[in-house]
Amino acid sequence: MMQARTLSVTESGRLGELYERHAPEAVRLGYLITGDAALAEDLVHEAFVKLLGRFRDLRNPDAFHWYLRKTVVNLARSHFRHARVEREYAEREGRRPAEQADADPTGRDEMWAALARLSERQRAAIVLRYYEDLTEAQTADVLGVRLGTVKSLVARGMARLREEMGSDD
Amino acid sequence: MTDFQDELREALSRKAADAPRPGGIPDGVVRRAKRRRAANATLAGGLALTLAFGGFLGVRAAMDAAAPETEIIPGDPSVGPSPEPTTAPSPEPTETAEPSPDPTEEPPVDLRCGRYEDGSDEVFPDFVDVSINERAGAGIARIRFHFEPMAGQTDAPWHIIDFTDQLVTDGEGAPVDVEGEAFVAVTFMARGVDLSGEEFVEIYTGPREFHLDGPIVLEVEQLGDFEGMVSWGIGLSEKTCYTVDAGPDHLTITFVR
Repeated sequence: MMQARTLSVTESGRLGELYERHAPEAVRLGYLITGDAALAEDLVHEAFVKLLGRFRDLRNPDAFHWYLRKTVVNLARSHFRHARVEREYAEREGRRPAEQADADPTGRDEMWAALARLSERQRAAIVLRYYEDLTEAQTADVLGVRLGTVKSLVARGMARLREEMGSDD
Repeated sequence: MTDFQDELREALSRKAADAPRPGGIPDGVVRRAKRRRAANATLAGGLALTLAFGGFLGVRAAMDAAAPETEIIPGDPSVGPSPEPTTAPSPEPTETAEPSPDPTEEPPVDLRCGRYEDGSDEVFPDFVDVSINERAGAGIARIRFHFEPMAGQTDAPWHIIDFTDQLVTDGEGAPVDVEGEAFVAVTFMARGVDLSGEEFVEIYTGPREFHLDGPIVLEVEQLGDFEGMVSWGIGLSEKTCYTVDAGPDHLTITFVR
């Protein structure tokens, strides 16, 4: 019978290499989507646990990065759903919902403040398109939605950003 | 590119520079990854034993369970994600499909909260439709896969239903993002595509994904139609036990909360 296989010392070292190579970029992505530095780090840790626990061997760093990006985005969406449920429960129970992290308490970056006011799906789509420079098809793949949904999320998000920023472009 | 897009990119880059810079991999991440990996290996080992004695059904189960253990090989286009997805776009999804099963029917009483497997591997119907209905007040959500049965067959086709941490595409084993906090993989023997002629003919021509408002089912998405096995993934708002009703012309899964 096959024995349960655990990670060897060598493999653990490899995990460290993967983490050092990919975690910073993943944290930046998580931070732009959530606006919360601590949460972004937590999401990336969780994503590494999920991915490293699942793959027998990771020889293709590019593929790992792709999976990591998808997992971070998916975990961020799960976080927002949980937060929404908690808020609704707190409101039903007559409690004051927990304060949301202010994306930019200084107000020095109007564009970022406007981004923070978008829905999380619109913000994720825009971050993937304009920060990660993904195509619409790639963005659809990462978000797990259809191409048409991405077009709609980005178009509506950009329209709202332009409106808030008073841009005619 | 417009000035506004440039401005947006600059704002994002500026903000990204504020993100924390992680140091080395935390010990907790390594420990949890080890535990998770050991658990996966144990599961694969147990199913490998099934494979040795279980014949066709065991083979299938082991393949399904082993899928998350995909090995990514450089340059192998059949495994791993593609930077530029090339799959054809899915047909326009609809919020609900026709005909819808009546969720007010009394559900069967055999609630299942784990893996369930049944049916005949000699029955190979055409898979023709999916219908989904949920009645929030009753705490029932019902998903029905409709078949065009083989002549003279009275048994349900072989099917397997199980909870999983990650839904994956059938064949490639690539992760599939489905909305939800708990996920159910449904696989059954059927033909979704007719390969008997010179050209492929789709038998099931309906939507490949359904986005729903819950509260029980959030998304239903096809995972594959591969070598006579049709797979679907179901995203639930939380783990919910289910009942199964299967016959030669249908497979109905009812989630009961």
